[in-house]
Amino acid sequence: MTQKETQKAWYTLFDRDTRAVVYGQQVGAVQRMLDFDYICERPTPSVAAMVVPTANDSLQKFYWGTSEVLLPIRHNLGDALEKAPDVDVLINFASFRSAYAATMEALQYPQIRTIAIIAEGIPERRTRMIIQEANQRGVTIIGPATVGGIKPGCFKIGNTGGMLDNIIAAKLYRPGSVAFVSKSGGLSNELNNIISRNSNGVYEGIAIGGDRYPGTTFIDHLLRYEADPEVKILVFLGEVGGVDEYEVAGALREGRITKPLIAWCIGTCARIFPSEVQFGHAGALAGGASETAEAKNAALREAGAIVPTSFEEFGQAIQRTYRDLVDRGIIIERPEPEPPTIPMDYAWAQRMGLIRKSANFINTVSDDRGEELIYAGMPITQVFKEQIGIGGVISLLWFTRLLPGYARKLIEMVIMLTADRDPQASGAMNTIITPGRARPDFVAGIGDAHDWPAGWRGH
Amino acid sequence: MAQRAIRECDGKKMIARWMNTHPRGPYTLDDRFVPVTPYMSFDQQCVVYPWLKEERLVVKPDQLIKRRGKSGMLLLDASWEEVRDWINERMGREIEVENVRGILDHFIVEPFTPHSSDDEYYLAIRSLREGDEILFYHEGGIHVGDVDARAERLLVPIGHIPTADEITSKLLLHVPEYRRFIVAGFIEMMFKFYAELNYAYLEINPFVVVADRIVPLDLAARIDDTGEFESEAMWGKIEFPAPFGRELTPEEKYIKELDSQTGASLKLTVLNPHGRVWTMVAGGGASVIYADTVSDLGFGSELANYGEYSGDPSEQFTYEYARTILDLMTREKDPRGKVLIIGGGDSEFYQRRRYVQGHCAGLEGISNPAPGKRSAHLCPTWRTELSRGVAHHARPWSEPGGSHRGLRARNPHHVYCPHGA
Repeated sequence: MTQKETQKAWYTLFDRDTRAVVYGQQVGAVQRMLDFDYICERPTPSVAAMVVPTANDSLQKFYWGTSEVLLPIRHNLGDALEKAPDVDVLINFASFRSAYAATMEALQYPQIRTIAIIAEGIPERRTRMIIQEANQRGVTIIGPATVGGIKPGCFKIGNTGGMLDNIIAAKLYRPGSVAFVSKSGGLSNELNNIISRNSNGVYEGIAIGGDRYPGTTFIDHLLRYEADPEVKILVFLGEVGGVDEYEVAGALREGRITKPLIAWCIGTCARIFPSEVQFGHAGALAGGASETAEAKNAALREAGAIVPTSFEEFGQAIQRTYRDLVDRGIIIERPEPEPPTIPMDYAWAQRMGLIRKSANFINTVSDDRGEELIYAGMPITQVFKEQIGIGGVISLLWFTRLLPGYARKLIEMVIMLTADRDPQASGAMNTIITPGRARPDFVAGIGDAHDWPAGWRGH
Repeated sequence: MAQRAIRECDGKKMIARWMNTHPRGPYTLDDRFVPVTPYMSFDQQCVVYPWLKEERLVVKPDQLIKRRGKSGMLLLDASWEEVRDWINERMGREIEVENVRGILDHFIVEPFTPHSSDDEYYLAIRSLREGDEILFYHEGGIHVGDVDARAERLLVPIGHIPTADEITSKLLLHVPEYRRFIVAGFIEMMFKFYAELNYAYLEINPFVVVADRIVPLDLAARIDDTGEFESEAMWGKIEFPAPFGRELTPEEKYIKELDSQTGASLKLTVLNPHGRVWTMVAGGGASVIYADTVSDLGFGSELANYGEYSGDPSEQFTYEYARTILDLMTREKDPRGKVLIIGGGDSEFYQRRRYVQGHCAGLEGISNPAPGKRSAHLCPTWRTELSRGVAHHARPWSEPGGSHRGLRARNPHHVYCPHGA
């Protein structure tokens, strides 16, 4: 991993002034980043703009604490970067189909130093092309297939770190002395918790992603942490499959890593499986004896890493190492700052039963707030499954209940009779159904349903 | 989503399809072969492929079995009648290869190509982080031996295509001069094929050269299934067979199908259907830790499944996933009880509620089976020594209590929530 010449030290990807462009319609993720910025007391929001190729240039409202700020939405990445020359990070939420093109485009702009790629399912060949281009340009790639990473007190990539209460619980609003690297986003969050319970907290944590070819590997980040004087303890979570863990063992043996390194590779269960199993991550499949978790744990232990006997004991190992460094005066414990208060999110508070608010809008017929469209209480899948037909749908939407079969049939007969959009036929029919309100065609006729004689609407 | 092995037949079909759309090199490629499955009629095949009755033939199973020649799973230089009898004898039969038992149901029939062992060459292409590596050895076939030690290698950086000259000078030094031109042309074509079709591994051992004709005899390949949206047309309709002896159960197939319908990830492997520890865990990493922990505690033999779901599957998908696991778990009663571990890493925070809702729906479906369906039961157990051990050690991995409220309220069975509400 080479780095560009900038004022920042090569090992620093993020600081309190780091600004990013978020690629993709990711209002939720941006709001979570801004919430994090706010409780870290950053001077400015870490997001300069969102790039949404399908949208026109516009502005989007976000909370900044209890007040609100406007962030630009840009149609075009180049435009977004030109208007925000201080941005050096791109958080790429593009889908697996378009992440390659978006990343390659971003690599053409020299101001970009770091790109996080969130999408899972990018073809491995495309990823390798990205890696090659990024290496030539000295850009750090985090991902693909990752949640990203976090630098407490400074910067957070997208959804890393979870909800605000989790960030507060793991004290991610201020830096500690422990830096970690893992594959999995889910586990990086657990590491945040484990580290905060067993030490003065996380200094930086990166999830490199579960793909076979991560843009940067474990060793890239561990060497960064080794060089960063603020980092006192390294934590490293590997897994079954691949051989990247051996680079770390090599660096330990060669003395390129001298700080205490606590390591564990997950996937020790693979030995009890009757045949090879593809774990959740694409790269997690033991291709040979050297790729098993046991072999890697043994190699790391032999190279001088602190390797517990199970993941359970990871926390204790961190705690022992931390206390040792405190005793030796290498880590000076600082007084704990007051934890920041967080403004409560309305939707969250309502879900937790803390507040209520009367509805602005009432609709008793259809409900599309959930995952599934509901017609008068009937989920749309059931509408199809039970074959209630057009007559049934109209009975649900107009009469808010499922009418008996003969009534649904009648509705359908009416539709069949009036289906001809020819003004003469359907206009005449409408005149019969809605006396005195003849409309030119079927669509308009159906639209007049509220005027249908009472007898038609009853039953 | 990952690199997945394909059948020899599908690989050869792709090569033929691709060659037809590209200018041919200084050789002809023999692309005649016929797949045989339980659903095909022999007579029909003869009509479609008349050469079956005219040529001497080779037949072998096409089920990702390695070293077929060495284990006698190969019939050479046979007539169509002999091939038919050979297949009929084996179709649907269980055999054992290198300690794995499996049922034979896919075969591939090809023309027999008489040649000498001097005509056999080894070719493999594999993907590495820094590029694609071509491995070539001038003595191919079953006697190739330790390829890693013997083969000539050429590492091609990503985005490059090697020229015939490069291939000749780096790989073909031990190939007779009059053949170099043909072989280099073939390797160049195969490399382009490999790169364009999102292959992750391709081994042709051997391909034989007879005059200006090249015949790939044996082929093994893995493709990167994330490349589907780019290479679909060239791949054609393919399936990814499970390793030999590890045919997917209907439930595993179903989850795989769901997985392919969504951008989210849904994985299920049944390890031991009689096992008493079942897991339903969110997150590719967390799920591995659960399995590790169960195995560390000495309950590896009781671990019934490995699986994970992540990447924001919809409630419907989560429901189907939960229902499938609960269905499998409740098929057989065990007086000692069973344990279901529901959990996940914290990163799935924004879906937590949805997951729990999906789970609840799954639990309800099982508790109140629809009329006419097999009645199922969930063993209310967490009390046995086993469950206590497992539940306790799963502690740091459970979702904080709040999200379990739904489960508690709606599920009639004993639920152990480590964090408490």
